Amino acid sequence: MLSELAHIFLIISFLLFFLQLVISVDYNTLSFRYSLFEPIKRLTFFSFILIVFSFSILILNYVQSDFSILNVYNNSHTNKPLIYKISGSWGNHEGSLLMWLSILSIYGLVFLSLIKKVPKEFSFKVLVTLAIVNLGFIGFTIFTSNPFLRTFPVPDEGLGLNPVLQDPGLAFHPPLLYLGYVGLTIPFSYSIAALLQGKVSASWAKLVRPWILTSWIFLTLGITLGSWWAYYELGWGGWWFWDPVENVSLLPWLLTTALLHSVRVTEKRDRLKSWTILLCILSFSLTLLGTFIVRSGLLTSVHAFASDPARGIFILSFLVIITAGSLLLYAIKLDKLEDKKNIYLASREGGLLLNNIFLCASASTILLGTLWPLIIEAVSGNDISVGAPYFKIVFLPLILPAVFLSGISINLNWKKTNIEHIYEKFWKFVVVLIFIISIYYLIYGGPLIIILGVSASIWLFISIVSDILNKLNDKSTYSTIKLNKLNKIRLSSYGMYLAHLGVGILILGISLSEGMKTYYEGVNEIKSEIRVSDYTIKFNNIEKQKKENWISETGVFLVKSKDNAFEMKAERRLYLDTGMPSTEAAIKRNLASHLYIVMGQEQPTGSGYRVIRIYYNPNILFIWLGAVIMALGGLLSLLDGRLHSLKKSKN
Amino acid sequence: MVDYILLKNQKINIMKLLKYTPLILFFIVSIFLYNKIKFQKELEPISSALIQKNFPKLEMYSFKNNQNINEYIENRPVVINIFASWCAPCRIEHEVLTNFSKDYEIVGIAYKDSEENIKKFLKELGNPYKNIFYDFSGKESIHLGLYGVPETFFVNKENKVIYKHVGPINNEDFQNIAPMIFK
Amino acid sequence: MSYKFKRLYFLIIFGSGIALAIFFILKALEEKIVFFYSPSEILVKEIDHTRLIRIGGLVLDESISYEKDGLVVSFTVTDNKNNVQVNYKGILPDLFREGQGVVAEGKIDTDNKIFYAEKVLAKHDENYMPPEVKKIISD
Repeated sequence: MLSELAHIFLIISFLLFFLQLVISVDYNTLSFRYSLFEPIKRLTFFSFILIVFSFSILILNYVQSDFSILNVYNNSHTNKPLIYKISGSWGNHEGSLLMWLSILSIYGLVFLSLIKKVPKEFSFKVLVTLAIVNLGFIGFTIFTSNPFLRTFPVPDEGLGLNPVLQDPGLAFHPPLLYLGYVGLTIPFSYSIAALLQGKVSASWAKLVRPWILTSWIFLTLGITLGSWWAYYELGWGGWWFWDPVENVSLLPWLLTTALLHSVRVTEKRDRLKSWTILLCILSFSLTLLGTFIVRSGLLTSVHAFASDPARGIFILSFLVIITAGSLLLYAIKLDKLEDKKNIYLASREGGLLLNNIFLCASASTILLGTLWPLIIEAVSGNDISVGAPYFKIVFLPLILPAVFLSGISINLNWKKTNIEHIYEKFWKFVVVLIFIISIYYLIYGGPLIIILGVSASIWLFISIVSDILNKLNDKSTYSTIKLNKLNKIRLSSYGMYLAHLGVGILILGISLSEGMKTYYEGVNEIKSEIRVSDYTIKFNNIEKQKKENWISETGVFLVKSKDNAFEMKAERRLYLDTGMPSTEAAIKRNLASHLYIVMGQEQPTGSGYRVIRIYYNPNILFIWLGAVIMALGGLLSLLDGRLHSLKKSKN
Repeated sequence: MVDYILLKNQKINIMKLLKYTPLILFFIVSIFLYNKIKFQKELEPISSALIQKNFPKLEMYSFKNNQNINEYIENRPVVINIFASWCAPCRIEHEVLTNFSKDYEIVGIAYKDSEENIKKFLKELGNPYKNIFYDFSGKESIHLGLYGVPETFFVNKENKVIYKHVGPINNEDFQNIAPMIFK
Repeated sequence: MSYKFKRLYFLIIFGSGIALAIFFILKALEEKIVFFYSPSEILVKEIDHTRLIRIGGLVLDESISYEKDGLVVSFTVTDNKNNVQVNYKGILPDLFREGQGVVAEGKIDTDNKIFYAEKVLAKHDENYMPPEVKKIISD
């Protein structure tokens, strides 16, 4: 009964949002009815609560393993651990949509709780935009992907979950990513409201920045977790494959990163207003585009699961209505926002502007590469694919300048910085950098791109330290550094330093691991020995075991290095219910480096020869560590905003 | 128009056009997306290569007496349904098959399944099949161009495939298609 | 430098930067894309033998054979109309089986007879059929 109730909740909330839209406009004067603000606020609150309830009921169904619900039957099993029963509820198309909706509702509820700080007419428009977005997504859920369908007769047992998905990394990857994706709805609604108002101000930027920051933190964490999952679960030894599904998650991240910088310019200097608005619209549209591409199975992807074109049509229509509508509104209202004031390139805002250009250019190349197969197919009828080589060759030259520029921008002042002053400061940096890089090159050598990556990260580190030292500098004497000034630096600045430190660590991790990794692939018999990097690996024996619902073959590897010896176990599972194999890589960590062993199938069958792949990935841990530090930096900035406003309200 | 641009402030007019570029670019992208999805939609109700062709020779044998499927269906108009006990849509479809099992000869092909599970499945839901053939490895069904279970083939007396239905079939479709196998 | 001159200077640098970027991106797109062919198309279309291409179809039954050390494998890819023999040195994905859809990346020899694969692509889900393969076998 509960699940019927949940379905009805969804339908009611759909109707309520519809009602809200109908009553918010006065059709005689074609204006908004601000007088209805209070009732509409309550209406929205009620709808959001209904959606959250609805999702809670779905989770409850999963916890209770109610197989009379088709969705639960298809994706769960009684002997699954509780955590995967719960994660099963969003591990499928229908459930994940409902999760999307309830995350949107939670953001909506947070917005409602903070609504007093926002001007009434403005928040009215935000509510209208939120209602439109909600209508689209609820409609999508109830018309094409109802998670509460019943099945009869009731099966005794569920079909289980794709074993690849039965993993802690993947259990929390979608919620984090969705928290990021959905969070962008609020900045989007803020921009639409600002366009409707015809006014963008520094205070608008101040209001919208925490929302952008929140999304950015979750997007960063979500993508990081996804990459980490792909690394240890897929058994391909890599952490990013330039797959369409990965690309469409990177696109909103790049744009949100750009947005985070441009909104700062709007807040501090009242410039780049129309650009900030455009980025808000585009980053939200890209999340819709991402959903569209993933859900409709339009592009060939290693992550593709069963898809449905009917759903694709629905999301595409929604995407077109929302994006075309807002871009049209943008074009019409742009003149009112036009900020004519010039920007000096030799200033922080100038640096941020250039940075923005490079970030957006790199995002465009990814978008172009991702959509190129569709374009070529439509134009010439040829099937093509655009793979990692393209993305590496166009993305890296565009993103590296952005990194170097961000090092410079950190050291610049707002408004205008004396160019001589910059030269004076930076020649020292350049000398230090060249010195470090030449030492690195003499010791390790390596391709140019790796050297550039290492330089970029060292450049960032130097810039951060330089700016901190500059802030500690006693202005009166110009020579001594006063440590007691450390607590005068604002938390948000620390957040900024930390986030950029994270970028540096990430790039260092990528460069060092890509530049120094070694790889072995071969067919080996038992007792044979393999040498990879400094390790001697002996393929000792295979243990076979029958587990609950899979047959496990575990390859035991005895590894010797200069100073120690250890055992590694790479497992290969054959799931009996689905007949699907899965590989569990053996990963041995040594500081930040990984030795990574995958045992494959017998090749040919019955020969006793096993496919073995061994990767030595030095310093690879810095990649994810750097990303997490970036997110932490974002968190610090976010906390600063909260603390600041608390202090203000106390005074 | 050209004069206008030249005479008036040049910059502003270019800016006016520039405003619409995001919108125009977006429209171009969405046309390509629509084009692709339309194409994919056409692909979906798969026009089987088998239609109006003879039902292929298959190495599939029945549970009961190990009879070959081609031998069995010779000179009989049959409805051949590929199913599996592990497939959820098959459960939904099962009721439809049961409704028509009196009027038509429905033959099952058990795809990637085990005898034990099939018995359990049929015990739970009833057995609409006159005869069941097995394809436990799933290899033979490749010759049928199988995309997924369930799939239903309507085959006439001359063993010609009249129609192939992909996915669970409903009462209405069954009612419309099935009589054609007697023609 | 006068204000106008500065502006012009900036515009020229900016414009040529964009033009250069677009040129390199299009060049990269032209060079790095990989065309996809079905076994039938391999026979009729003109194919650049020096370029990486992808072929796809079903792995023909009983066509898989291994050479000496087990690392070199050959199999036949079919679209139910025409076949192409694929030679591959390396490790096959877990879900590589006879009768399953497959996509291989590599180069074709000058007679369009043997395809030397450098990669055989993996997929997650055994019920998932790559769209290109689905398209060619349903044609």
